Amino acid sequence: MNDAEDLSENAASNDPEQGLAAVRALRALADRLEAVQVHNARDQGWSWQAIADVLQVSRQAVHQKHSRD
Amino acid sequence: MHTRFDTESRIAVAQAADIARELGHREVGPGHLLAGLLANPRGTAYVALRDHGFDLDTARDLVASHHVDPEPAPDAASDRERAAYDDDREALRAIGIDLDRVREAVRANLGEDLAAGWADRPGRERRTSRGRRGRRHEHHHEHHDQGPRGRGRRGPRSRREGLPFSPGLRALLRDVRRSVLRDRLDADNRDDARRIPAMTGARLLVALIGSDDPAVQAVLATGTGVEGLRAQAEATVTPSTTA
Repeated sequence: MNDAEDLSENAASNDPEQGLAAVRALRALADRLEAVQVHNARDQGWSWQAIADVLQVSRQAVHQKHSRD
Repeated sequence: MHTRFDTESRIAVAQAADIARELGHREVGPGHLLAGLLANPRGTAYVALRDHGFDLDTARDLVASHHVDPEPAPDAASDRERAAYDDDREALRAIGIDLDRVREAVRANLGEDLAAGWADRPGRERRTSRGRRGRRHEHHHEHHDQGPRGRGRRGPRSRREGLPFSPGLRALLRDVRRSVLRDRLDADNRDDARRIPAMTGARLLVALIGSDDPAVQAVLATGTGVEGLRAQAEATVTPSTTA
């Protein structure tokens, strides 16, 4: 799985097990990155509104999801 | 049989959870419950406690210093996290994302470990074997009030909501439940039995007074007399007038 050819074959795989696992993993990555980045933004003094604007969600949503982290 | 919580006991438990969270504890213990009773001036337990020289601020401080949280990071959880992270790393590699490199970059630039809490997504269940997803909506057993279960993944609540009860608090609640059932069995007839209040603030207070929890003991030592408190609390458990 190291060379580029293998990689593209996997990416184009029509095996649902593999494709869906990639989707799940991307969500997990996005969730975790979001937590880290929101935390960082807060540390740097960003307002919830500013964070929400960039994430394109409501201020309430981002506050409820991350205010206790 | 389910033992109902009356309003006072429900408030006390909710306040206890709030206090535990404010203090940064990972569990709700008996000490938090005692402070929770002190946080509701409308309660009968509050009156008894106040009459005997107890107050919320003192109690909270003592619980803060005497509550013993469980050891952090139980191994099972971190194993689960690691397994989930490894699964996802493989899945991402298949579409050309090197998760370890992302993790390294986050560590270098932000000083945080991306893998920490990886499997700890609110409401997301990790399948351990295939074909079990149909069980997701299975109803939980009767006591499903704690723990981050069954929440929508996009749900608004933080994963830290719903602190677990400590073993000591669970045992205490169990004892109270038993005492309610025992009193009902002792009642002369079924109507009387039904009138015996379920989980009440006074019953919780009596149970707490008998607890050997260190935080509870520390708080109880601050009042003007535990025996007087016990007598007043017990008198409220089975009042002549309805509670």
